Amino acid sequence: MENTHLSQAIQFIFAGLTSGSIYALVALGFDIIYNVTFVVNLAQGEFLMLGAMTMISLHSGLKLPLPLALVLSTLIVGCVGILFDRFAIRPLKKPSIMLLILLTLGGSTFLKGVALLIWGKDPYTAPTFTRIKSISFLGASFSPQMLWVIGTLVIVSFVLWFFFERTLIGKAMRACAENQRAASLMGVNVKTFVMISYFLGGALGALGGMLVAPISFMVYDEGTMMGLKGFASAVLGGVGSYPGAVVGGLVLGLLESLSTGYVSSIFKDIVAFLVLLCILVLKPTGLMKRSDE
Amino acid sequence: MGRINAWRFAIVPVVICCLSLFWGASIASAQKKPAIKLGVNLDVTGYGAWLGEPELRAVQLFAEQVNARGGIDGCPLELVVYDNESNPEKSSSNARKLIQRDKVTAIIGTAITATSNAAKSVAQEEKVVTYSLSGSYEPNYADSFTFATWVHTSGMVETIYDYFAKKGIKRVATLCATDSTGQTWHDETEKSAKKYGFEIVSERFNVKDVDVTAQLAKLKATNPQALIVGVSGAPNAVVAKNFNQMGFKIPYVTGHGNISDTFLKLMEGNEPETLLLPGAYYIVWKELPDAYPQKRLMKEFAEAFQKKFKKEADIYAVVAYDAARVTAEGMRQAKPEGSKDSLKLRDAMELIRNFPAVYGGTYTFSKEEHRGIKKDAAVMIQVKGGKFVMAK
Repeated sequence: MENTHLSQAIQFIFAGLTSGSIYALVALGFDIIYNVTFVVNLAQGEFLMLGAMTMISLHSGLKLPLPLALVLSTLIVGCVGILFDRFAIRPLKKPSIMLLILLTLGGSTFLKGVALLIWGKDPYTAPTFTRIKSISFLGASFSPQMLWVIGTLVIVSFVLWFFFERTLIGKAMRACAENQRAASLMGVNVKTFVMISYFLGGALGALGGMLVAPISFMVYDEGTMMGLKGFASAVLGGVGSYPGAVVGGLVLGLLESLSTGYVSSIFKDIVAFLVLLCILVLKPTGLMKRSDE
Repeated sequence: MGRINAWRFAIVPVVICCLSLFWGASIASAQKKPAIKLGVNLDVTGYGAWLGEPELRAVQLFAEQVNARGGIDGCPLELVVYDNESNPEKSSSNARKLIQRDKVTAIIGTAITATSNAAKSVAQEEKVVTYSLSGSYEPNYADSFTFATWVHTSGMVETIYDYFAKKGIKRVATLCATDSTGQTWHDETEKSAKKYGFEIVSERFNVKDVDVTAQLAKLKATNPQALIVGVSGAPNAVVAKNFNQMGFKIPYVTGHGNISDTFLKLMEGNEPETLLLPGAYYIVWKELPDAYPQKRLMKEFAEAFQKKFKKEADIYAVVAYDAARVTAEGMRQAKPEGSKDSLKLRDAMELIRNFPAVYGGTYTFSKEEHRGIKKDAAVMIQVKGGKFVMAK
């Protein structure tokens, strides 16, 4: 009996880490755009959906090899992010926070509409990246895709850290985040960096989508819920904090799977969001952000 | 202002001319026998279009066949078709238009639950027979003028349980969604388990979940002999992937809402070893023995539909065709003239007994039973090699 309890616990943790990693990738996309532009991009979930759909079309439809399909989809959705900035956000004469949020909401509906026209209402799914059916570990079993998800999250976190801390472009982007005016006085072209942030936001969303497609399925309106969960993760970790996004995502994923396992699957979302509320009441700035920031 | 008034006066004679033409035309046809008008209120566009479209075709095919055979008691059957665009408001205004302006005797439609519920109040107010084609519409209530097709979920659950009993399966696990379809499946599987003396453990999941291994791990610990997944459509992909990955070998049973090509495509490569669903006999009509009483009907319908539309008739076309057949049978008994006779029509339809269904089984109606079709119309179906076949 002890053994089943242990293997069940491990199964719950695996389940939580898998969905948590996806939430974290979406949350990272939120944070990058937020940090440079102070816009909460509600279309982040649609970037995820677009990434998954494009990858499925390129890989299963056009029969491109998987790595090529992955790279191409990331680039394509990154470019969609740039277009989104160029044609939806930038033409605004007097941007106010309310207006910008409404704009991204409109953008999300627009992207959903476009996806509906291209891919229709049918759900699509993709084969896992590796051909192994499942991996067993101490009586629990998980999909090899989970390793891809978690691995990608680790690599992306490291690359982002390196980019923002060690490269000039990354430092310039952080400067924009601190103070756009001062940054532009120092010769930083803020507009270019806003563009880069949207590219990164789109690309990260797409990555999340491509990783989740083989685990679940993708429909034109599937991104919205993911975007919401990603946003909740970003808030939980502290909006604008990259480590916060990762921790927030994983914590939310684990909360969901552990409440399914040890409380009840009917109350899963209620339990998860209750804990989230409690954390935010106790620490309004989020888990990973100092209150003096 | 003057010009507008002049236009208005110009319209009057035009309208009078049109009306008199109409009058003349109806007098001309009355010399034969008056047409019986059948309203069609379907979701031909909008998100219910994938149901509404084959359903409309089936009703059109039926009207053509009836009129080719001399109509109903010599009266030609005339269709009046309105598209409700899958919009509940449009559905209720269509129903009103059909009854008040077109004076139809009965209405076939609609395809989805939301539009059916919207048309229900009009049907009750005007007392005109309305035949819903939506699977989860509930037609049985006091003084009902509405009818419904499809075997109810409770009948489908019993079909599954009969099969389990035959296979010696007694410990059942269920994983039902938290949406309304899942809730019905959850309640019905629990309710019938008592009757059959099955042990049942249940878990729930959200249709937006990307992982259900936590739920499956809990179910696995109880060592079930079969899993029933109460959900329609895409979320089955998530459950099936996790199910395979966790090494389950027991039968995977899911709802009758999944009988579609989209489902087959979605499950391709992720099919559990034994993938079962309950469904209408029509789905496997080619496999049925010639002795099956409705096989000839099924074959005739499938071939006529294929010939006229160059397309295979799916189960949605079948329910619409059956609804039109039952209504016409009622009309044969009641001989109605216009919408004021719909009460007579309803009472006649309630007397229909053992009327063979293209769906499978037979229709037997009564005052309390407006669905008319029971679990004997359903059979266990298995997915094998990307096709629906009869489960052995």
